Amino acid sequence: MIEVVTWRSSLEEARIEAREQHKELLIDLFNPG
Amino acid sequence: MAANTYPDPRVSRFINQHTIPVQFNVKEDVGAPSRYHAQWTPAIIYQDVDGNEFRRSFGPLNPDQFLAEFSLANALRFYHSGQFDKSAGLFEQALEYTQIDPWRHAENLYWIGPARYEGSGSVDDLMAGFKKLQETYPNSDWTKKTTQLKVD
Repeated sequence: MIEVVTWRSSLEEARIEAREQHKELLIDLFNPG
Repeated sequence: MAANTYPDPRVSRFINQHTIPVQFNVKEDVGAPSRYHAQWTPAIIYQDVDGNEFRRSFGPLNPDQFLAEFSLANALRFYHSGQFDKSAGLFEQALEYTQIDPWRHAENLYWIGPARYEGSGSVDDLMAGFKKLQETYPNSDWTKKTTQLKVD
């Protein structure tokens, strides 16, 4: 199965999720051009 | 990166295994660059849940560069948290990704010494790590740091 990256848009919700799963945060700032 | 890097299965696996990914479009969220002190994109920041930052990268990364950069970030996360033995193992594992990238490989080799040393307390471990770096990249800035070290 091919994994895809599911980007979150809320830092606070991502923090809660990361805390629950004992993971870090990867924050990507991008300019779509 | 959206077209080439993030769809790479090695990259997506790494991201999903270690992180919760958050993305901000700076055209829509115009405050994001100021919030993160990141005025150039793409900017990729590796943090723990308390907002402690362990690494950031500016500019696009291809899949190999991404894996090298963030396998180092993952090891540094544990090193700077004082989990030295775990970080030493992660720095060793990161070599698989950094070996194709002389810039990050030299940094990777550098950190193996401090991680082993902090874990064991043995200066021999520090010097063994530095020796490998000195032999592999004699002219690297990371190597120059090893020659400036004074150990009491």
